[in-house]
Parts: sequence; structure tokens; C-alpha cells
Amino acid sequence: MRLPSLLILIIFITGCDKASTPDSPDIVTISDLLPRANEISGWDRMSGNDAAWLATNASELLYHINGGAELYTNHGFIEATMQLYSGIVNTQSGIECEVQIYDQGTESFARAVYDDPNNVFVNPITPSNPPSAKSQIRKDIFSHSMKFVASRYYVLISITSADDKARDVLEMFALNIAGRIQ
Amino acid sequence: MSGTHQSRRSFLRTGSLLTGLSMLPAQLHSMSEARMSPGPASSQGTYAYPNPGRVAIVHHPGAVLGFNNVDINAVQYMFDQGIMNLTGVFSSPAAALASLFPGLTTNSKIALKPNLINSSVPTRKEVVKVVINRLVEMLGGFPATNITLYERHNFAGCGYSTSYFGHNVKLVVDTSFPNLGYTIHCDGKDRPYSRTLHEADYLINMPVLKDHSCSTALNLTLAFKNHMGTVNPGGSNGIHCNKNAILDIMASNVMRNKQRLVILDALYAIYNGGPGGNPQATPMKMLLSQDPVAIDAQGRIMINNLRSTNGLGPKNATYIDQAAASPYSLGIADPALMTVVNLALPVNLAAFTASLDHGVIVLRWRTEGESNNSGFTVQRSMNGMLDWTDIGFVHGAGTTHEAREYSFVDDASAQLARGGSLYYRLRQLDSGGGIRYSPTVEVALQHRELEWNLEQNYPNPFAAGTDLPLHLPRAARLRLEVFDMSGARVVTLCDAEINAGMHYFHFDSGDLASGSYVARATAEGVVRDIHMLLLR
Repeated sequence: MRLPSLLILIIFITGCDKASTPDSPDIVTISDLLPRANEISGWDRMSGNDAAWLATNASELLYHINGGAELYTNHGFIEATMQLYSGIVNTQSGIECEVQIYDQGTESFARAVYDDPNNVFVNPITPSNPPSAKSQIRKDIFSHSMKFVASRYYVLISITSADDKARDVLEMFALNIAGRIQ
Repeated sequence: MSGTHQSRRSFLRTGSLLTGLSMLPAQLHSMSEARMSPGPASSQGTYAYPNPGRVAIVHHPGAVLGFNNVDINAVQYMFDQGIMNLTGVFSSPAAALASLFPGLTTNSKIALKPNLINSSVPTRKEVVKVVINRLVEMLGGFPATNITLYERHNFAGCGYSTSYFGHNVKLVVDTSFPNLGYTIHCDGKDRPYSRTLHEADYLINMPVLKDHSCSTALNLTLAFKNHMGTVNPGGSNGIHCNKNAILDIMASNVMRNKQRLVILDALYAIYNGGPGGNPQATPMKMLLSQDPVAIDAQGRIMINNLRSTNGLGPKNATYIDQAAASPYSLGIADPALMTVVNLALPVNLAAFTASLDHGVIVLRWRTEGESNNSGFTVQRSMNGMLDWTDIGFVHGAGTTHEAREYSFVDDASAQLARGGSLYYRLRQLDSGGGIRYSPTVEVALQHRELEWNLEQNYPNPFAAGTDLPLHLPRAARLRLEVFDMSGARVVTLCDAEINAGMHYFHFDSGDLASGSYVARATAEGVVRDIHMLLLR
């Protein structure tokens, strides 16, 4: 199941490389790194007050993620954004995928967030198609999460499904975002 | 019901010597908090909050049904049992709750402080709802409009609304903390606090079981840290991750006078990398206490047990020990000095169904675990509201951690003619005399011409013997025979006039050889066969 997904992704990422062409908007802000609605087939952006945010300073980040903020502010935090998506995993609809992208200023800082003792992934899983050398997946009781570092960005993607196929979705999002960053 | 019960009198003996002070109406205190005044010396054995060290921990293994899916009936039961056992007031949950609010009148104002920062693991709306359900029952009818929830974050994202709660409570998003003349002195400054709390007479603090990435002194977010939001945590003057500030807040007269109950929602938990993220465990517990130190100490034990299970080191959260020690003396942190009432609910009823099957009603239920379960009285009602009749008793498994299947057959032949519905429920009895009722299930009775039926034998395949179920909607002459595959009759099990109803005929295989056999029933000019397999 993963090989076809990878082929689709390669085609997809090739498309992403055209982000600077006239028929696709340039990546100007951190929010432009987020996949657009249905850019990943079947994954639409959710709407509502809690479905997206942008934090351009530590105080705004604190408002949005409270206790998680110091993980980032301790390591050079610049700005961050979040977007919720809704889609299907293995025929189950209504699954939510949350993408958080943090600009930590330098790759060194982004790696420090990844390796912070408060950010340990218990029983980590290596992605089948890792978006970067520093990437891990964890499986929780109802969900999966993936963290990775690309350039100066630390990215955290969570999906509300413990189905193994949810990992394919995480990897699609991760490769999409990593492709934009590069 | 298991657990340590205390009489009301012995329970009260454990109370704080400071209770009298705490019972003073909040209005009698200064609008501005005095400089931090630590609690009385712990050498005197007194603490700042009532009933130090007393914690009720309620576990219901059926409370969480999945991600963002909670059984509110289970949660209501957890709260009701927890509050009665915490207070020692067993007349009703509302009376137990009211006993925590000295001087309560219908003009009193009550504030609730949930934790909604992480919409994936917030204080569950179900937990808040069951508390509100009992608050409005206090004093024979407490005004819902006098109950206010306050939090910095969007209630809607966590499913909070007045329509969901079913009562006209107020939801106040406190995002600004202007200095209106009332402050709490914490970490060296007078800081404004929530207007909702200021206007309230009593507070129920409702945190969630989560760890936190603050320093080792403050790396859990439980009762103490839930007051980020009672006082503004953000901005240049904020107190985010400020251990001294949260200790001072809990030591303040505002909190001592108003915070009367802490309910720690431990249905879900985050034990690593919190407080953000999705649930990492489902303890399915609710902790109740008036002592914020004791409840945070119990939360620390739960988090660290989860961490240990997953190969992680412990969270120190040393603010808990500091809060217990002089000069704060806010409560008890040492588990050995606590009175912990563990309430493991006796039976986790995972499913209860009823279906009409060939003129009989078959009730089936499953438990996912039982503790001191004597059994189930099956009750039937014609209207589902009143007039419940005991129609049978099914023995329980006592104590088991394994799933058990139960069934009960009610011959409803006499009811079929009237149509309508029948209602069933289970009255579960534990060995200590505790009683719990299942949800009610309804079976619609249908007017139709019923045919008799020979059902598949059970067990099948079989060795020594098997039963053949047969239902007759009315009295009839029945002939029931068993043949081998050569067509030779092996035995005649029945050849007689039989009354209406469900009948079970036993077929003893004796010394018959292994192989296939046919059971043939003849009644009302109709022949029905079933195939059976004998395996020795």
C-alpha cells in the first residue's frame, strides 16, 4: 500500500516544486508552508476559531498552546502556525489531522526542539518515507503523531486515528511540507 | 461497592482546624489580597484547606468509549459516588455537594474553572455537565444562572455550550485581566484575577490529568497550575511556569475562602510531552478532594505510574511537596498520611440488549470486569417508568477481570397480543449490598401471525449431548425425531400436545457414532429440519 502512495507523492512533490511558478502562489509566510485545502486528496481544511492559528511572538504562542510554548521559546522561537484538516483513514471519516509548523530560526534550534527531553516519542516508529533524517512517528491509544526537522523548521503532525494506515497520511503531509520548505 | 467508608462524624474529625476560618463569607475579606500570608504552622497539624488528605478516587472501566467519546451515564455515576464518599453525606449527591459550601443560599454564586487549553484533552464536557446536574439540585433547586464557568479559551472548541449542559449556566471567556481593584499577591506583585471568581462565593477547580514541559519544579498541570487563567499567565507581567506564583495563588485568602472542591478529570491522560497532544492513556478515573495538595500528589502518582510503564523517568513536580511544607502548609502531599477512598465500581456493563426472537424476548449483556458482583435481578415494565417487576435473577461472576456474557429469556407470549412495547433493566447487586441499575432497553412487540420454529441445536458440533430449542406460538401437537444420514430414526424426543412457548429438548448422543444427524420437527402440518454434527 505504501509504494503507490510514494509514487503519488513523488508526482505530487514535483508539483509542489512549482510553488514559485506563476500558477502557484509563492511561499512568503510560514502559513504558506501549510498544505492547501484538498491539496492532499480528501483532506480539507477545517474552519472555525480553533481550526487555525498564527503566532508571531512568544506571547501569542503561549495563548495558543500554553504549556507547550516553552519547548519552543527555549530554543529560538520565531513564529508558528497551525491548521486542522479533516479526512478519511481506512474508510473511517471525520478523522482530524493537525499540522503545526515552527520556525525556530536555525536548523540547530529546530533540532534542539526535536531532541528536547520533554519531547520524547515513546516507542518511536521510523517513517517508511521519512521527510528528513530527523523524523519519528509515535502511536498513541487513539492517534498517531509525527515530528521532523526540515531546515530551520520543526514540524509536528498529529492525526486522530490509531489505524496503521494513518501513518501513510502523516507521511503524505510531512513530505508535502518538507517539499515546500526545500 | 468497595472502598473505605467513614461515618460522617469520623469523617469530620479529619477536617481542618481552619475550617471555621474558611467558612467565613468571602465578602468579609478585603478586596485586595494581603501580602502572601503562609498558612498556619504545620507543626500544629493544621492546613489551609478543609479535610486535608482526604481524596476519593473513582474508577469506572466503561467511562471512556473511544477518542472524544465518553459515557456520560458512567461519569454521572462516578461523580455521584465520589462526592458522597468524599463528604460522608449519602442522602443524595446534591446534598453531599451542598455540604461543601457553608452558608450556601439560592443567591450564592458558584464558579467552575475547567482546563480547556488542549481541546483534545480538556476537562471533559461530560464531567462538567454531571457536576452542573447536581449543583442545580442543591437546596431543592439552585439557580443555574448563578453558576459560571470561566476559562481563557474557546468553550465551543471543547463542546461546551448552555444547550449541551441543559441548564442556563454562564460561560465566560476571561482573556483580559484589567485591574479593577481586586488582586492576588503572587510572586512579589499584586496581580488582577478573574472577575468571575471575584464575584463568586465558591469555586470548583476542575483540572485534567496531564504532564507539562515547565521546569522540574512545575512539570505537571493539575489543580495548582489550572489557576493559570485565574490570574493572567501571559504578557510581560505573566506568571507562566512560575512556581512561586502558583503556590502563592493557592495560599491566597481568595482561594482559601472560595475553592471548596477540586475535581481532577482523569478519564484521559497525557503523561509525556504535555499538555498539548492527543490522549496517551485512559485511566477512566475521577479524583475528588478539598485538598489541592493531596489531589495533585495523587495525580503525580498516576502520571509517574504511566511514565514508568512506558520506560520514562518520573516527573518531580516539587511544588507539591513545597505546598505541603511550612510556610505554605496548604495540604498533605505524603500518600501515607492521606485518607484515600478508592471506589472501583463493581461491574462494567459493556452491552445490554433485548430482542424479540420467535415469541420470546432474549436479553443479552456483557461485562468487561466485575468486582464483588452478586448478580443481576432482571426487571420488566410495561411503560419503562414505573411498575418494575422482578422476573428473574442471574448470578454474577463475583470478581473477575475477564469479560463475561450473560443472557436471560423472557417468554413474552402472553404480551404479544397487546402489542406496544416492553421495557427491561438490570438491577445489579454487589456483595456489599450496593445496587446499580442498568440503562433501560425497549422491545417493540409486533402484531403478526407467528409460525412455530425449530432453531439450531446448541452446542453444535456436540459430543455427549445437545439442546434443540423450539418455539410454539400456540399449543400444538409436536413430533420431534432424530435421524442418522441413512434415514434411520435414532430417537423420538417428543410426540405429544405441547403448550405455547419456548421449549428445549435435550438429545443425548449415548453411544452413537460420530457423524451428521438430522432433527425433524412436525407440527401443524409443517415439517422443519436442522442438521447436527456429532464429534467424539
